[in-house]
Amino acid sequence: MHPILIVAFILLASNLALGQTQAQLDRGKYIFTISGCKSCHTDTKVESQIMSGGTGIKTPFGIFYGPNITPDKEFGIGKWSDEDFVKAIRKGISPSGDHYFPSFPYTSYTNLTTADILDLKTYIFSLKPSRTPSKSHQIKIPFNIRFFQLFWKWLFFNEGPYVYNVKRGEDWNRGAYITNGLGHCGECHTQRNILGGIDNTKFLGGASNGISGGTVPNITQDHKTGIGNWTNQDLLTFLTMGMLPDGDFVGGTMAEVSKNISELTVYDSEAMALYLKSIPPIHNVVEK
Amino acid sequence: MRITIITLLILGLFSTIPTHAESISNERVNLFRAMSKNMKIISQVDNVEMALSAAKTLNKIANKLSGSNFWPVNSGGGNTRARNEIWDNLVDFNKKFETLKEVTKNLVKIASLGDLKNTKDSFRKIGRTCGSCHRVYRSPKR
Repeated sequence: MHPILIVAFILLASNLALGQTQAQLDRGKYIFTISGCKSCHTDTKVESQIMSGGTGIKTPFGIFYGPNITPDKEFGIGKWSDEDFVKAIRKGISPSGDHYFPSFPYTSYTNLTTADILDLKTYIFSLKPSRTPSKSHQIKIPFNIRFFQLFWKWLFFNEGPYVYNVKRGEDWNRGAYITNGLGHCGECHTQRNILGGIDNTKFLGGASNGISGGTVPNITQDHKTGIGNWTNQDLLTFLTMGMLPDGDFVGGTMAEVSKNISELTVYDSEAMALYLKSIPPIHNVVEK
Repeated sequence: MRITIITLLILGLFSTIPTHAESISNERVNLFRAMSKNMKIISQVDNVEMALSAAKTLNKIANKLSGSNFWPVNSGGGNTRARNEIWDNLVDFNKKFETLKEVTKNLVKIASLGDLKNTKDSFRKIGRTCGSCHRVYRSPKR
């Protein structure tokens, strides 16, 4: 083969590879943003390095700290293979075989496709490594015994990925994937039982025992206690900028979430609105 | 007996008069409600003149609310959702208000150019500004 052709072939292959990597990075960054990874794994109060470990999430079982998941090989997840990363997200199991506590919402992220999980890994591994040690959780006995998570999972965990609903269209399924997977909305907006398992019979019906002890609104289509009287435009306005139908803007933890989901593409925000509009109404007045 | 009754009535009357902090916080709440109303107008109009008018109102309110006379110490709680963190972090809180003034001023500028799409795009930034402050300094709805 002519040397010029060989050089041209190598250049073309390199460009394709670089293009593929950039596409993965872009997709990975999008998934990272919508999934809200930064919110738990970065301590924004002290302006720490991105993904070097987060502030504590207070729960009835104790305080959980998002660990350092930068690509640092000693303090982060730099040694993780693709299989390790997929297993962590899909099954809630660490490379050493420990079961994660569900404060890490693998119960929702399990819905992600393998391709999305790997794109997410590509993006996270492009971030700057941090040598900040992860904080230890402060969990009450006996909830700190990881082995018991096996039992918890048997009771409350349904492993993914998301299964396409053939009775519904592409848009609806995309909205369901985002809400149940990337957005993990049910983790906060659904009531948990005494063992911290999500009560799926009351999906998105609000929670009296939300993050850090607060209440979380009912976002089902119930007209009196949910968002049933929101128009489609109200929903879209909320998803794109966090503005409620009365012109107010969300606060608390939701402000951070709103910032993330405002990055949804137009298609994805419309898909999510379509899905949310289909959620069966649940009459539930959320009270402490 | 009569004097006792009259004294009690007078005391009762005084207890219904709002304190200075309560008056200020009531006025604050009304101004924030006016902001919400104008936010809603901008999000829904299909007419850039109305959006401009609402943007100007937003900027005026942002400027008014940023004055320190609106945030006296101990004016949180009660009928307001202002958290005490405001007075623990006044520098940061005031910085957020400066950002709000800036983005609303920018919104007026863009709306003045007459393009509704650009106006609505610029309006999205206000949401983030509001949210970033509410996240830290506003209590959840009761």
